[in-house]
Amino acid sequence: MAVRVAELKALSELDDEELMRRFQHDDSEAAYTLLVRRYKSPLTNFLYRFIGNYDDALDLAQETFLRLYKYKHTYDSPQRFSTWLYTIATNVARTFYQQRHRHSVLPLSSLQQEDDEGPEWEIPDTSYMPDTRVDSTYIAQRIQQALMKLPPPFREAVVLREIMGLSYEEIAEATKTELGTVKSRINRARQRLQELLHDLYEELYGKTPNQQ
Amino acid sequence: MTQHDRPPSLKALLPQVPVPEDFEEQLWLRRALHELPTVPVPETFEKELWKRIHVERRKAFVRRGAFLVIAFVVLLGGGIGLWYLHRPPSPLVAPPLRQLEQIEPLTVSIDQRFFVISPRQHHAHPTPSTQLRSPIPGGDVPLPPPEE
Repeated sequence: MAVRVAELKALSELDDEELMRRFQHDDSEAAYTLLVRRYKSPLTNFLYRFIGNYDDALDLAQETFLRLYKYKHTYDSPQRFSTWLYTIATNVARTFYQQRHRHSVLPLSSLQQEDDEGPEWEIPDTSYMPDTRVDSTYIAQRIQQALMKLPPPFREAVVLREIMGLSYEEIAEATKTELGTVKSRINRARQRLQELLHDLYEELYGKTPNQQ
Repeated sequence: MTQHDRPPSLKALLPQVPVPEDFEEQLWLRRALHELPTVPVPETFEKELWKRIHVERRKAFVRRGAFLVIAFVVLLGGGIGLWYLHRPPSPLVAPPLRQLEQIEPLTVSIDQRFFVISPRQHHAHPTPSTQLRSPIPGGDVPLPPPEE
């Protein structure tokens, strides 16, 4: 990589879309490097919350950036860069799931299930979880475990909304899903998470009046 | 206007909007999701990414090279084939065939030294094979032993 610091500084003020245009038309590796630096953390975070395994999340984040490099010509200028990047990331994550669960008892069709929650997915290997290094270890672990129990389409939607902060419209665009379906998935995911984490809430804040 | 005559306030007219009992729990959940710790990204992330990019570039280069070689071979083969089919006749490679000549039929005068055997004459004389079939006189006498 021969990206000069001066070049990076010169481009650092530009927004994502402009950087992508520079990379697309001028093959600017500095623009690409800046995009990687801006998005490597949120992207790894999204993939970790979706996949549930840190090493896989890192690998898939690299795969996403690799695809961004290879298929830069497919970026459509007025499109928001972050949405486009999350589209690639969700595709990468879905492909990973399909490959991983090809011989699993769980049906692949559950990836496309609209309304049925389907079976609960396996809890991933938690031998190394970054959450163990913070004070809120227990809560974070419980939330991650609950997330992993959601069907992938629900998990994908709720992670993009509640953790990554994307709007409903952006999620619909990134996941190539109808807006109504996105809203429905997020609502059902929230309800399911609430059920799964209700005991934790009671542990932390005591019983709610309606539960007494 | 006395207090009784005053119309009821808008607030009193509108019913209280119900708040779900688990409102706080919902709020906590959303906050907890939002506050989940961000996973760290190793410092080697970019370095490893560039390594993968270089590998991909090399693969693409090899693929493009192989495609060009195959395309060149196909074009060359096709070109040679077309040239061979449509090549001009060359005297060195294939000499032209001789023109067909009209040959006059050859007539030969009858030679008087020879005569034509008629089929009847032919049957009157025994054939050499018939003569051989008859026993040779003294043919069954054993030959004397060879002299030393």
